[in-house]
Amino acid sequence: MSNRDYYIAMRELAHEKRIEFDIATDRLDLNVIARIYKAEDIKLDRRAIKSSRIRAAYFNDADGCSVLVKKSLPREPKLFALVHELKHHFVDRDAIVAGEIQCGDYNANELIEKNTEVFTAEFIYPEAEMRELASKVGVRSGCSADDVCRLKHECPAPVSYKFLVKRLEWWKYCPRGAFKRIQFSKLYERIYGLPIYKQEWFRARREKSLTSKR
Amino acid sequence: MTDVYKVIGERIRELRRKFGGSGGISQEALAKAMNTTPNTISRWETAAYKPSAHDLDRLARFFRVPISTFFEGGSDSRVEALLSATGDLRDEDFEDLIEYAQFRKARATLSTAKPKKHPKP
Repeated sequence: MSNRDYYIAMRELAHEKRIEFDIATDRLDLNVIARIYKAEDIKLDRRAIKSSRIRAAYFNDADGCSVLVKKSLPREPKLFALVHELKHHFVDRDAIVAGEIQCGDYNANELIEKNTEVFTAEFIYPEAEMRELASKVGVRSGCSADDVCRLKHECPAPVSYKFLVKRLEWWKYCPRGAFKRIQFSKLYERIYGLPIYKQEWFRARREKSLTSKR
Repeated sequence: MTDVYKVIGERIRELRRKFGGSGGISQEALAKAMNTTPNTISRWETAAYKPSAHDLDRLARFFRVPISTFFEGGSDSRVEALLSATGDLRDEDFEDLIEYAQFRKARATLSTAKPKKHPKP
């Protein structure tokens, strides 16, 4: 299969799986992913991982099928990592069981890994949906960091800034690496204000409730 | 077939008694570290209670031994996994994976050792 065919196949597979599991972008969360894992009989183990280079790993052997995911990952990267491992389950499991794909051999698996990202991105937030939103909020070629924040503010999908920026780079709406040094959370707070959990009144109330519990 | 839980119990006792190099650690102290009761530790050691894979994982972390220590036959550290790491892995990265692979092995061993529940009539 050529690279192009593999790419198309992964996008189609993502659409099929969204239909199969009745996925709606705005309702996709970690509970939905846990439900899919259960339906696929994959054990999900959230554990502390010391390595900063490992987010998740898919295991499939005589002891069954399971996914290890880094417990401390924030919600969006965790969801991304879990969907990433789902693709390995749907597509690569036979090769893994047969030992044709070996652990950590990233260079040898580069094509697989790249197309796994394609599947994951399309599964979580289909490109067509993001294009529609981008055009609705007026984000187009030559977009700024503020535009990325606006997109994130309106975005119904559980995706990170990194996800949005990668897509915008892919569409050539911004040069690759243009927002490398931007701290989007801070910028977002400057535009839209502090989130509730960071606001003074909320912190004070939480502190009070914790003190009374002690 | 050797009783898996009996072997586990013996290993827990052995590790507890050798812990720290001198007099070991008491059941009470271990219970405190494990956030459980001394009675539970005692019953794990006599195989009256069956520790779960998660309990063994916590014990292994406490004693700083691989989880496979609790089983006969030692470890099979071959890891067949595909990672979502973004580059080639270093040796230290494999430690987490080997530890997890052993945890899985322990869980699988325990699930076959547990007697099947009888369906309600």
